[in-house]
Amino acid sequence: MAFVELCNTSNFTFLGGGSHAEEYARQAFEFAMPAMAVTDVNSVAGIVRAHVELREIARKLRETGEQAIVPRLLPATRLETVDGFSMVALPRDRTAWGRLCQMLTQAKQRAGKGECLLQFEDILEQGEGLEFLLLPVSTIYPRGAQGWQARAQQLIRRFGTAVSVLMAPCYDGQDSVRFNAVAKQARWLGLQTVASATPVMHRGSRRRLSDVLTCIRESLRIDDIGDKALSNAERHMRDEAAMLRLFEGHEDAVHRSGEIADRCRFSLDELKYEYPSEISVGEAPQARLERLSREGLKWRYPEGVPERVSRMLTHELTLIGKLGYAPYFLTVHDLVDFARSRNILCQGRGSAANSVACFALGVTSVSPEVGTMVFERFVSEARDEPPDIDVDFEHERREEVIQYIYERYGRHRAGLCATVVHYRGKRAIREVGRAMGLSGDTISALSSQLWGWGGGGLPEQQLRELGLDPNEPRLKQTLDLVDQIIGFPRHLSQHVGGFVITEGALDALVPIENAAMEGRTVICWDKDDIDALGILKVDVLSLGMLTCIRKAFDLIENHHGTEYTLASLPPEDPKVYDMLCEADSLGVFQVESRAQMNFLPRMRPRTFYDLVIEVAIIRPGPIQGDMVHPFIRRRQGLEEVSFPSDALGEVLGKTLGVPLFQEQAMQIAIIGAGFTPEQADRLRRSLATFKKHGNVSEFRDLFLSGMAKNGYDEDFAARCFGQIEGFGSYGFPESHAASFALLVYASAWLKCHHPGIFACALLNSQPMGFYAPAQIVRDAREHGVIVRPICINASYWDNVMEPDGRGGLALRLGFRQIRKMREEEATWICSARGNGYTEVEDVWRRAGTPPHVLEVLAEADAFAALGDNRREALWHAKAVKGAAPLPLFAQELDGEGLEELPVTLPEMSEGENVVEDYVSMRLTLRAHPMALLRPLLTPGFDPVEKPQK
Amino acid sequence: MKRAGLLFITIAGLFFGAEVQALSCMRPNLAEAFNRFQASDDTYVIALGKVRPTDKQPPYVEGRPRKMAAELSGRFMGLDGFGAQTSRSMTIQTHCLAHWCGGLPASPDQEQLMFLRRAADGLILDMQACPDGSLTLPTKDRIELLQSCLKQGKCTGSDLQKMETR
Repeated sequence: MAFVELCNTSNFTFLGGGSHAEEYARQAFEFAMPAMAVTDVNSVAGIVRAHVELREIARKLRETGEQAIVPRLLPATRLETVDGFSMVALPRDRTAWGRLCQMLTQAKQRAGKGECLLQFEDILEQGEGLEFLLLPVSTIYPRGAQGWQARAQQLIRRFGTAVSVLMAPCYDGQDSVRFNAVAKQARWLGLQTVASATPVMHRGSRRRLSDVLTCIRESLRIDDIGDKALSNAERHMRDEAAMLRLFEGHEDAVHRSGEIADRCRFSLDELKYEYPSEISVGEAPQARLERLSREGLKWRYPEGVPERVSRMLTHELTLIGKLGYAPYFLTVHDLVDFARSRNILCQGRGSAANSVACFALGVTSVSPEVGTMVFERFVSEARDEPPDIDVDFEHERREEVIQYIYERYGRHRAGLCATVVHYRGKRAIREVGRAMGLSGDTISALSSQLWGWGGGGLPEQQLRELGLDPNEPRLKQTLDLVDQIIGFPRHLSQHVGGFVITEGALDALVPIENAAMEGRTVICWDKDDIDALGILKVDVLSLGMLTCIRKAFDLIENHHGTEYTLASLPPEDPKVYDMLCEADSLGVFQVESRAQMNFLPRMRPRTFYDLVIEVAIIRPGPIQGDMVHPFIRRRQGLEEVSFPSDALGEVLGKTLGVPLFQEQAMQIAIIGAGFTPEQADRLRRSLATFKKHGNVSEFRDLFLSGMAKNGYDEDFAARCFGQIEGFGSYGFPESHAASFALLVYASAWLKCHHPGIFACALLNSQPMGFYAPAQIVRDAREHGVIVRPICINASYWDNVMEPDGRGGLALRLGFRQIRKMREEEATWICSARGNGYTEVEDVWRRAGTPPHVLEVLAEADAFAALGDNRREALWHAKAVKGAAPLPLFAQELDGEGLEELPVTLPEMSEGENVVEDYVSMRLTLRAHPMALLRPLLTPGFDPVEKPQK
Repeated sequence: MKRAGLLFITIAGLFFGAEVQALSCMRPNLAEAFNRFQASDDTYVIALGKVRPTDKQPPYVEGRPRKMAAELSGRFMGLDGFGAQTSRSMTIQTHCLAHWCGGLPASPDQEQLMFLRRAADGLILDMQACPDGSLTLPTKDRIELLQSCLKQGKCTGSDLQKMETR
């Protein structure tokens, strides 16, 4: 049978393999292998990539009508036990795959992040249905030949003919002898041999990189690598002919690889995803979704559901029913329902979020009348992929939702997706540079030029400017290696919030491992892998502005007795739009950046949909596609609104003929350039990952020629494609922009009507947004808010609103604004405060505040209310000795205490106080720093004649 | 829950003369407080929520606690965790020692974790001049610890150690 390479080590054996899994897949295709396996050490993290690559090759062949053998990916791994016994394991069927995943899960959950403690007994216990290829004793195994044989015999007794011995060359001139010895050993054990080149790279040209990876792994310089280096460039993938030459006399071992591959029929396509069933609580999922949606509409429209909305819902439900997505919507609803029961503010976004169904289920608060896109574009029948709904939760409380998911579905059924951390510029330069022995200065200099770094290294001129010689061989080599290593996976990390929840055991689908963060578990595949296998993912994300809005709503309820939700805010308030038109948007979600502030007075938003556009337009996509100026000219009436064609007029009508949203760009590809929906979707996907793979250009020609064929202007076509490219990573779909626009409106409404409460909530949600507390406080004061300083007798940890004595509210700054202050200390100060402290020492005595914290408080001028200015308070704080007071001897006995003479400390000037305020709190309620310099900057002022007081 | 024991307070000066000069407090241990309330003859409930006084504080009369009506909005802890969000009226009872009196540790905008005494006329929050563990700010650790204490019926020695604050 034809040779199949069963032991390829990819770069998902971090700092081990020298090639991508995709590269092995392409190489196997070039060699016309019928199958191939990617076998990373105790990991299956890279196999989906090879699988997807092979699927893509097959698709291209189908499209072009070419005939060729496309290799089948054999899901596999290389098991390595804690005592160093090593073997390749290939599951024969789905059940064996499940066992393999559970075995790896068990071993990984015993260890810390990124580690795996696999015991030999685990393999004996869960290895049923796996094909084992033992790596022979000569290549590894620290326990020596006898230990190895004992282990091998144990495996043979348990799994019989499923065990073979791998015959692998070392390319050192001794291979023939080695093969004979392995064959003899196998005969003695009653096993068959299987040939493998055990590649660590797809081509020999990766040898140098492979050595550098070894250096990084072992913290060595390349000059000290010694015998850890590959002795030659031979450990690459080989075709059958080369293998037969290499294994002369052992050809049967080469052919046996094909036989084993033939026995392993399991494919990743068999991993059928099943939705969790408990979300339907005994009802049929579709029936439950329909019932909840109808009930939800009644809740959303208490005065009667509009006919149009009801019709839209029926239409959506029919489509959802047809595609079987009801459990997905119910899963998202379940999370949102939990959040609501805990008073955690949340808001859905993503392609399917702005549907009537999601509005009715409370996933989003954007009224379905706002969107212009039809539901089919989000839940596509043709694409047959799960809909996408991301849910943002308050950033301080998202963990509660995550723990709820673990609790409700169990850790064996829910896990976070991984994020593969790749080598990017800085890390690549640092680690490769260090391994190549470059000096720290050179590495820093190269890092500083990162922006100029394209494919093919830094231009010579730039290197010369750095004082480096571009022809110096070591430097040239380093830069070349840096280029090669960029895009290599470095380690797995946890995704920001992508949860996979399954009906059956998740660990029988994919191995689960511990994340660095306590209480978190992650699977080893990232979101693209999950997507490729059609597995459902719910994004549980966090958003600082939701925290801020929730806090503001709570403050309004507490102080004004009015209860608001995102959906119940008074809509289309002209005062809010007046404020935004004046670019008075500091702290307002999304529109607070300088670019947005600059755009607001030109855009002059007057309706909610204007905000949707506002959010979408100041993004790299429309900017890169030069869509901003045409849009604004049209909006201001300076340019006629025209459409490139009637067909595109339908798509672009609401945005004055200028494409601004991701869906519009995709629609142009379909309507304008004649893409099939499938092609348009592939374009969208390739754009989303083009940073990693860079395969957009094939679509560019297709797009431009398609547009030209349909009679569109070349310039328009080029601009559209430019925008599509920009959308890749940064574009907003309309539904997404609408969800965000609601948060823009909500935050703007709060700022407009309750500036004090908004500033207070914003300060209590820090760090978030564009601006520092100093700017937020200054802005609040400019809006007439009374801001009161931190006070030992009035402040809490958080900033709070307190009566201003005139029937209104004042913002009292909290201890959290003080640098170096801990919440725990603030808590005790408040707990023991009772009816107030009378002196600095009193705080120490009653709240047990340690002297160094008293100093921190003194530096923040928190004792002013006790009559102590900053210096006096510091003087008293310094006088406090001992971490804790000794209560029984608090009062000095007569004659034993030293009477301290009163001191008169020099008063601090306003300038000194301002500086100290900034040092301590990063803000001041005193004069603006520039106000102190104003006299100096006033024309005609002579500092010599009139020295500053 | 029952109540027993006394507060962790000492008044220096009372021992040494007529003039009271300083009140020193020790930081209460929440686990210890739980055991104390558990052993008390009174019944206590644990609540997590916001307290908003609805009345003005009456003037201080020596030797008598001051009572103030308030509104509690929050959740009560049961054996299976916290129940649903609820609002109800309650009483804040401030106790004084010489001229030092108790006070709320949180503003009406902030949540606090509290042991409320169940009395014939409703729930009462006792606030001593020195914090006695009847209220504190809710950290995740504290809530989890209390939850496990409630399940077991008492806080163990290791719980006491975990809640040592210095």
